[in-house]
Amino acid sequence: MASVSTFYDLYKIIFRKDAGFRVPSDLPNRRVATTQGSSLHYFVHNFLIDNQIKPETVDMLFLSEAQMFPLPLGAGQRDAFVAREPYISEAQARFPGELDFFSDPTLAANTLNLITLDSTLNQHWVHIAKILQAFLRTELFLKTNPQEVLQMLKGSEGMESDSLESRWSRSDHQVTLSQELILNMENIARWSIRNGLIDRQTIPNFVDLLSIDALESLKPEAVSVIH
Amino acid sequence: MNFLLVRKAILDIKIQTLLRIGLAAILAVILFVTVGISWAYVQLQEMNRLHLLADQIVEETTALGMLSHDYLLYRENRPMTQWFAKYESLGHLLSKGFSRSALDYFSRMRLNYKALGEIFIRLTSLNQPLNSVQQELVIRLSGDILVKTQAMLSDALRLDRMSHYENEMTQTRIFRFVLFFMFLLLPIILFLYLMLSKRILSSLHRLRKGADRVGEGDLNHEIPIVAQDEFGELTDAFNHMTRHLRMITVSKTALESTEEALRQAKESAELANKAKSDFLATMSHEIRTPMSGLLGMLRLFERSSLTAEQKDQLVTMRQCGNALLLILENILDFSKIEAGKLTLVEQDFSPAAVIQQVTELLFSQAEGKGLVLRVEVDGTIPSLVRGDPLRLQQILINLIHNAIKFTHVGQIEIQAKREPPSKGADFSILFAVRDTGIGLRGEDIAKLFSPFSQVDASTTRRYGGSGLGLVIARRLAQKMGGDLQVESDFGHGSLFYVALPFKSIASDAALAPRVVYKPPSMSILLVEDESVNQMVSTGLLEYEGHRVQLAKDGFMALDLVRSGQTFDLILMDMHMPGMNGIETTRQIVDYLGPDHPPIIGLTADLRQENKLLCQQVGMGEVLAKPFEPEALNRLLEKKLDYAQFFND
Repeated sequence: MASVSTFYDLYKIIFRKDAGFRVPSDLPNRRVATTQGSSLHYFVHNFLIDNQIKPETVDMLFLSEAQMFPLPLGAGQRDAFVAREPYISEAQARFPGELDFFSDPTLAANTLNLITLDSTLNQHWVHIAKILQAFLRTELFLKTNPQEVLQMLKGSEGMESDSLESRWSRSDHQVTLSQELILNMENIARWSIRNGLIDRQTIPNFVDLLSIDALESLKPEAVSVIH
Repeated sequence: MNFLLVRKAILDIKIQTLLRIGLAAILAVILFVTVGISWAYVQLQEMNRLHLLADQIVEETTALGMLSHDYLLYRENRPMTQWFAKYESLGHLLSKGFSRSALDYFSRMRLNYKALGEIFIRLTSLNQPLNSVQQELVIRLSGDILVKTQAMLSDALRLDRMSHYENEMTQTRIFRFVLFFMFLLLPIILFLYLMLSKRILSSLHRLRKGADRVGEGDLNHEIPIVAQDEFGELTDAFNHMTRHLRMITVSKTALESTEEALRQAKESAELANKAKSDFLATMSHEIRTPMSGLLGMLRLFERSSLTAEQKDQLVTMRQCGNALLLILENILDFSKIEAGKLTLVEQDFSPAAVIQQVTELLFSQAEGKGLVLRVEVDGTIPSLVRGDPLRLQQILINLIHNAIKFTHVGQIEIQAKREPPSKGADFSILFAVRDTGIGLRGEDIAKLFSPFSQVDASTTRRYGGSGLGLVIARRLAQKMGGDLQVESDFGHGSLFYVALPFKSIASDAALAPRVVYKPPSMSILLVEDESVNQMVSTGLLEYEGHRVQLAKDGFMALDLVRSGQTFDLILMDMHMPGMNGIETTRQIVDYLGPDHPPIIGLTADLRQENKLLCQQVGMGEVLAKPFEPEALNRLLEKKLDYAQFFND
């Protein structure tokens, strides 16, 4: 239906300072925990490639996201793990001054998309339009009242005020349906096929999965998908 | 606004306040509209600039994407150089100023632009041959370039759409903005109208309604004063005027009652006066008729064989009769003057001839008292003038008769002298009668012109008379445009004089010297019903040598005319039973046509309307009854001259 937010620099490879990691090339032959086939996995794969490290040289330990915690790191089970906010901030708070990380802001962008079923869309088109309208109004509110929004977020449970502002500054909240969304999804699909993470061998036509009309009727300039 | 203050203010301030409020509101609206439109114009300009900029970014990004593809296929220098050139050009576009509304778009585009540059540099830094990791990296980086390029294109296109959309929105806002303020003007104008209506038009309406009610006669209506302003003052003044009108109306009603009473009194007085005049006219006519007979009979008797003593007694009797007749005529004239019925005629006549006739008439009377009657006429007086000779004759007779009456010894001097012209006339003639009589005291002169009065009772007893002669002379003089004046020296005599205006006439033929006219013997038809008058008139005419055919009424006169008898003259009595003189004359004239003989009317009623009536039916002249033979001769002389002229 629409992309509503993009978060940059979301993923990091966390390790103890005393784990012997100084540069990314220290990662081969070490055990790095992540969730297979997830955006975390996609991030660490691209991170390794970007640093010209063969992914298979790193001992990948695939865990569910729930299994990633609790720490401790090390002790031969895992030397590092791939995490995203807000778990990174939580870990840092738990082990103050003990953790360090590798990151690449250009790789760690994550888009939040609004998804529904075809049947829901067909049956509740008016409600869907109202939801989109609400997101558009929220977008406008976030744009025009950033300080007020921050104050509201600071009052919410689980939001650490120290990191909130820096995290907020690395996010973009815009209701769109863009061509790059298609491209990103296709890249991920290709990566998944290449690495045998899924059964199929061809990528789907993601344009067919988009419901363009609703957003286009509300805000035509928000749609840049070629259609 | 404090309406209470406005209510108490004078109208001038009210209007000014309302106009200022209205003007301020309208100016504010105009100011807002101007500012709004200016702001909208700036917005539109900005949107147009953004629109243009977005188009350029789309263009440059598309070119960058194509060059990326070109380089990734062959990894040669040319597309790389072009890529960096285009990259720099795109960076220049993104560095341009932008509005707040486009901030997000430009922020994202700059991030993507920066990432794009970094990715492309990494790509160019990978040297051939590539190992498997590098190959996968190139694939990933190529995908990233595509994503970043597409992201930039998306933002540029969104910016383009946004600017277009904003442009339309701004135009809509301008329209709504103008419409809103136009609608805002409506209540302002309505407010002004209502305020003006309440403060001014309602007051005017109240005044107009009040004026209508007063105009319809409701003078008790008072318009309520609702404000202490000019309208309040005007209303107060109007109410004051209404009260004044009420008072005037009350006074007018009383005045009208008085006027009505006066009018009725005047009508009564006029009726009484008319009755008096009618009575006098009737009485004088009734007395004239027997007097006519009496005097005629005396004349006839005088011509018979009598002793000298008898003749003297008869002359005295005739003079007494004439005096009585004069008194009657004076009373008749006076009543006419009083009734305003005296009218003057205008005809050509000789003033000298009038004086001569009067002196001839009164000569014997003066001679009888041993008085000398001297006449002096100015040679410069025109022979013919235009005026009323009979009334002039009457004035002179009264004056000379009066002089003779009050003069016992000495002379009566009659003068006529030309005077300078007065208003509306060509010249005046001063007629003066001077006597050597008893004269008047100064205090008696004032009583002289009062009707029915003489200087004192002893005068009446001694000299007789009605006391109307001088009054009539003066009234006639005034009617003719002059005034009778008197100067007197008691015991030595008096001077009466009057200057009368006349008009000269073009033909100034001199009158032939007057000779006593003796008409030839004529055949005369006398139409007279009264037996005494028949006897007198027949006797007098036959004494003058005429042949008289008597007709006792109008029917007999008509029979005689129709029988073929011819007459030289017809004397027609006006008042006859059966057929009066007017009708008889009309039928004679109808029967005989224009060759009918001269017809002279005989009547005791010599009022002007009677004369006019006679002339209208064909009578040439009218003679007063009882007629003097001399008067008839003068009339006959005049009529025969006319007849001869006519026959010629």
